[in-house]
Amino acid sequence: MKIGIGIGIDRTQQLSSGSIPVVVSGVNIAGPPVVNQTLTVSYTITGTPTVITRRWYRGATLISTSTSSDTYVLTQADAGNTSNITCNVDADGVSNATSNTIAQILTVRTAAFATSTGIVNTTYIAALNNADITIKSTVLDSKLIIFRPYMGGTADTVKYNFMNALNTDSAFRMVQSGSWDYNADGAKPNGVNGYANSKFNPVVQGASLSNFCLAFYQLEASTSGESRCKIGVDNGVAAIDMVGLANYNAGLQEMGMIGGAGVAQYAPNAVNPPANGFTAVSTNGSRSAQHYKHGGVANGAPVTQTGNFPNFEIFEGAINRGGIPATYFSKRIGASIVSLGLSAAEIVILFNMIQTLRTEAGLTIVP
Amino acid sequence: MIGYKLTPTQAAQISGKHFNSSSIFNQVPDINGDYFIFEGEVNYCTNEVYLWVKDLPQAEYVAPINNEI
Repeated sequence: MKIGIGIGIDRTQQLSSGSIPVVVSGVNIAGPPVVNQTLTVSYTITGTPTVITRRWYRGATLISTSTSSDTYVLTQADAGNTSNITCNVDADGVSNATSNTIAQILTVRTAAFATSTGIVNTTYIAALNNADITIKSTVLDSKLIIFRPYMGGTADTVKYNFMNALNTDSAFRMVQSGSWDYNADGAKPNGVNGYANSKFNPVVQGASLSNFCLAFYQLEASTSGESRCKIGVDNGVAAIDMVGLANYNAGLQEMGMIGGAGVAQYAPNAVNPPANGFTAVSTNGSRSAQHYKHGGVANGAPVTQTGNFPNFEIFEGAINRGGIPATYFSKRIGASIVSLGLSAAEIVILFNMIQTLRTEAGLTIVP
Repeated sequence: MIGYKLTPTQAAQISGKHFNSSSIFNQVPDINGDYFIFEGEVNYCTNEVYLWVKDLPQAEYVAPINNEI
């Protein structure tokens, strides 16, 4: 029988400056998984290494290296539902270990919206996160003033403005009045006394008639002949100087922007808007207002608007007629938007963002 | 349409008041000038001060005017 004794040095346990081998273990990252928040790595190292290197990865991509700091501040580029953030800690190049993975990084707005609404449905949050990544990466980020996704199925969830999810009037969190019905798809005023105040007064906010857009997502089809306003405001004098989206009477839907000079002008008149789904009216650099449906330009020429913004707050589910709700709406609402003026191409981005959001969230889409 | 009929005193009591943390009563008159609230206000009322609305009598609501744009 032979007895041998081996002598050697394991590269992962080389002696650094002392007699205790350098070994990295127990690497863990923790912190709020939200853009602009800080992740901190913790670890255990035996021995006394000369240099400890923290390498942060998003998937396989190296995103940060530090020999002095245990922290990493998440950036917008990290946002995503499968970001897979990890940290590898290396000691003197002789021992290293990789942390746990933080998979989903939320945008600032998604995290704030989830906190304010109390929405914990992971499918909704992932869909909202993707929607905001789209918003942040497009012109929508600088143009959307109110984007209300009407998600969550309660009065406390549908009221929030995704663009600023504070529970304040100045954040344009709407105040609901009267009778509404709520379900996963959205919220439905009852057509008799249900409406909401968006708290957005276009005059107070300094809105421009040449740079303004209203959009709306309606789940249930309007019926011929009904006269109801989805979202809007007028000055209380025979619908002169109004901005809104409405189902006008006589069997037609019309999308109003601004009337003036004693004549109610709509933009454009009596076109072929959808009975439900996405509708919008927008100016974009001039007073010429174009109507859109399902993301595309609706037939009918744009109409140049001549009036002024009414000095009242925009209502949702009715029109604010000089401070009094009128023409109560009676269909389920899936989203509402107040924005700076959008071009036809930008309307497409907005429409696609909403359709994708609702599809990923498992909600009804139209068409 | 079925609603919940209020006395004038009750209508004054709920005017502008929250029936939950996000919603305000909006009592509206019918064709006879009687004030009504509706199902959503009753069902979603969680404000303890106004839980009495759940005991209001139901009645047929007939709108007073045709609000056209």
